[in-house]
Amino acid sequence: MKQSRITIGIIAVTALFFSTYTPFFALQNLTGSLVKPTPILASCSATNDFFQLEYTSITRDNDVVDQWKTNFHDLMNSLTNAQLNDELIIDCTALTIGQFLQPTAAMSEILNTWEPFMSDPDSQKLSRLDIGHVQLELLRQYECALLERARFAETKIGPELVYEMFRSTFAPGSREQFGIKVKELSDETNDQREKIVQEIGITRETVEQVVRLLNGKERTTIIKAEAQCLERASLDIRNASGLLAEATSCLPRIWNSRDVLTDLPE
Amino acid sequence: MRNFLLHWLVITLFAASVQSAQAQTNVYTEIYNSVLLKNPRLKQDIGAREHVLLRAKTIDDTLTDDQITAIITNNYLSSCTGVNCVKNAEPIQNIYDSTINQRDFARQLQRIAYSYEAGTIGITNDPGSLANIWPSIRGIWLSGTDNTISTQPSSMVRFIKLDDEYDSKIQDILSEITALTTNSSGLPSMDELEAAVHRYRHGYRDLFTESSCESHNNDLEDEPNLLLAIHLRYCDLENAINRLYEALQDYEYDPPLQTGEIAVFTRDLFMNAKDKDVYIWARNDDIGLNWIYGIDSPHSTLVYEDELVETPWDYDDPPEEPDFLKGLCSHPLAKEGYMCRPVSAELCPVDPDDCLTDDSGGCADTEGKSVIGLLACTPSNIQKYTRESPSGQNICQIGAWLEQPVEADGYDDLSQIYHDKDSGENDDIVEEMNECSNCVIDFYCSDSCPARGDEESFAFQKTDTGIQKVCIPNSVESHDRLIYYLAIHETVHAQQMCGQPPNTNIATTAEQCCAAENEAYVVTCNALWEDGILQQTDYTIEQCAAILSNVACNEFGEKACTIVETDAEEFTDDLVEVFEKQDEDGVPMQSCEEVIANPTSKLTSMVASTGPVCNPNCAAKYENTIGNNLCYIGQCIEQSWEQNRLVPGRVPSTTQEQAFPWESCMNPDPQLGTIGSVAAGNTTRLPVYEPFRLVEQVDKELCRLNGYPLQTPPVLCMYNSNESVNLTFTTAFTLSQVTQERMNNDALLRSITGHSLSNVSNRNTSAMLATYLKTAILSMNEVLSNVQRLLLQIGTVQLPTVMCPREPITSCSYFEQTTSP
Repeated sequence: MKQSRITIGIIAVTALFFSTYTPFFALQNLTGSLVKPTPILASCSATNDFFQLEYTSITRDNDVVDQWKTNFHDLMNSLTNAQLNDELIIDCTALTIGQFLQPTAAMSEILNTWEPFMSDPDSQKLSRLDIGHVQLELLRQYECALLERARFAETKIGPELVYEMFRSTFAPGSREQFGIKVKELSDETNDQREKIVQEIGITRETVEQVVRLLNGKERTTIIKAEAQCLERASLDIRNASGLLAEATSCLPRIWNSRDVLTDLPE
Repeated sequence: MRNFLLHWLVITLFAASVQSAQAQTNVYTEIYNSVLLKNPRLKQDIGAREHVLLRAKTIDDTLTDDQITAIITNNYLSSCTGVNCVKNAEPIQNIYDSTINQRDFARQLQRIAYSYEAGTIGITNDPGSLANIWPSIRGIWLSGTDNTISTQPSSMVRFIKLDDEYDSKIQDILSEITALTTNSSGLPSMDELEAAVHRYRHGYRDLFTESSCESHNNDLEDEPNLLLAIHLRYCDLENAINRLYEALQDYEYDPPLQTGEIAVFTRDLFMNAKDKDVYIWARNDDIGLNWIYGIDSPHSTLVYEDELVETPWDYDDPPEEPDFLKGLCSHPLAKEGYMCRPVSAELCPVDPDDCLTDDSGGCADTEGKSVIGLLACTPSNIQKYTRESPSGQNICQIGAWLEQPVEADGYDDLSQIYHDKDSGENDDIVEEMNECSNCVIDFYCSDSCPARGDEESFAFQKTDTGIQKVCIPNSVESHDRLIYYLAIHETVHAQQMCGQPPNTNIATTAEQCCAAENEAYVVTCNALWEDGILQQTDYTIEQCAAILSNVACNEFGEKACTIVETDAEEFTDDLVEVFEKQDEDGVPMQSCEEVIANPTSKLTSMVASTGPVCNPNCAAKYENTIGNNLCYIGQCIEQSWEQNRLVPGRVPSTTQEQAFPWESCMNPDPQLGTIGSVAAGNTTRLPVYEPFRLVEQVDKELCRLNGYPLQTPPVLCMYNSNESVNLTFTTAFTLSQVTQERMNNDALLRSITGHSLSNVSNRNTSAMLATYLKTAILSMNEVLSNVQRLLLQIGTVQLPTVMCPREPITSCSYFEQTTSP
């Protein structure tokens, strides 16, 4: 009976697989390489290096949530500042918008070191105008990390407390006994969960307001960049027209130039 | 007081970029902190607290500040246990909550306003800002002629980088800015600076010239708050600004500033208060302060005394509009905005106050349906005339593009060429003519000028000796301020006749008269606009010119040129009204003699722009702009075309083909017919905005995501975490824990789902922007490509390196050997 259930299961999975993917294969055959593979999506968990902290840096007064909070807001602050203060770098002859309005240095670093941007070659086409998308993606990952920690708080916090206890117990001169109480774990867990709930509420609203502000401001950036390019081109054209006017001033030299009566005074 | 408060709020939120002094590196932190303010346990809004303290005392005066603070922070159960605490906790918390919400809403609106205005605010000393790039591009392109004949004039802006000569005076202003943050006038440290920046955002001149700062009521009374502080004046700061202003009045402009031209001064030092989010801006006519980032708005008095403003939109009267060319409208870019332009009464007759009323007292259409009555304009039906001349330059013939007359060798005093200050009606200064001028314009003043129609001034035909007399009246019936504008008008007529053969009458028919007069009046009305006079009437330049052309050509019938509803008397009355206001304000006025003796730079330039620029041994001087260069090139080509022979096979009227035997050696012209044509107008338009479809799409996806069929309302599709099982219950402890966790998760999920909608809208609007810009940039690209192609073609023109031989030659090989590739 058990064997037959497994067989039915395998058949069902195989059928499901083919029913799902056959149209895809057919489409791929017809269109060749037109169908783009699905981009790698960042997982909704704290897998990014940004969220990995050394046990040695974690204390009860400055726990993981506190450190994530500080690091994340610093990161967003630097992205925001770069967007507001960094000089606009324009390449007027660029062929793509990403080259035309290059991302700020802070944003480029994110694109080169964070998933999903790192693995997707298309993210290299992003321009500074895409700051909203980048900040919202970082926010999503931050929320994922916080949610994951809230969900698995006991399993995450337990080892951290043990490690901290280990350090304080075996520190020179310490008279503390090794071991943590269930209540300590429970209190720390509740404390961090409360902080996480609060943090998610505040951060989402903050980032959205910042994104709104930056996007509003960037609304005119492309016009400003175009205008600057137009200004540069205008200067070139002015130089060209100036040269042309200089050349035109020589027109009297060839007025009636084939006429014997047009000798100019020496 | 309420109205006053609301006006202030409306002005604050919608009319300008207001706000606080914050270091420019903390925008994110400031926003983060303001979000924290919504939770009084995390961070208290001091401004809101101050006002709740005031209000709470009116509810129960036995409450202490500590008790009220405990109620606000929701700690009254432990810190404020009296009966009065419990009894009054709810109403006090309600007041605090509504104040907080009010302030948060105001802050968010403020930031949206800032973000939208940041690139276009127009109050800046940064030449790289969008507000200043446009005038710069305009300055690079436009010719002097464009500026004088345009019916849609715009400000000319010149950027001038100051040297360190003015640094000490700028430092004085910076010191006063710093002093304002440390003064102890009863306001929180940054509020006084904030109020000062608000005060001088649009400059200090109006206030300074209106009344003495020292006599201004600078008493904060009993309530130190921002609302009152913005009505104070800061005399030390004003005086420091004035010292810089006076020093800048002696600045020597090279070339001199033209009428209406604005000089914007730049200096790195102007930005030295950026840690306080403040910078200094300086123009030739005013100096002021502004915020770099106006992202915070600590409205300290949204709650005033015992009156609570419920909603920011609960206002009755709109704020008073600033006078033309003052306040917001004094800035170069802002003055071109629709708020700062007059609405043509004739073209846009619909006044919101005149609309029909519906049942509820609002605006209604003729069928009684409620409508929003703003403004309705009809296209102009003013008839256009084009003036044609048999010879002489037509390109840049009218206007003012040359800075001084075309200069000939041997003339030291150029003014004598075109001005004989002592000349009367019968003077003859023909000996001053030279090969670089087509005519000599000779102004004279008279009590009775001969005139066409109802005009009071006159430009005579060019005499055989090249003299063009222009008679300017000593006084004008309606107002003597018109003398200057009549001089401009007649100078245009002189320009029209200067290149023509002597004794040419340019207005023998109605069409010719209308064309000549309209052209002259466009320049006149443009000057009236530049001087800020026309803006104070309801007329555009086009209408002004049409009305006056009819007057000048009335010998051909009433309204011979075009049909305009307004009659000349009405228009003149409006003008005179503005002139009389200028009289009251003490604006200086020139008499006829002064107009001639000390002509404005515009008039000088107009008189100068008459000569044939391309004659041999004549030098022309003009500002280096693309337009002016093209004026020069165009006039040279015209002159060559009409008076000489340049192109083989083409015979101008004054030369003969027989004189040129070498044309058979000419190669075919490779450029013939290859000049690129400008692309047909490729207008852009906003993409279709379909909010309903987008929302529907989101609803559908939401239901699909949670495994439901499409339901109405879509909120039925929301994920219900209470129905899921994610952890096993083992003990009562874990049961409560899991339940709590589910509630938290549920709240988070709802919050995230709700917020995701803004992400969707973000992407959609980005897509709309991309769609819009695609066409817009394409058009721009086509124009620039054509320009590039034309320039490349010009670059490939092969010019001969030798003059044609005068002695007979036997073959074409002479040209083949000596012509450069």
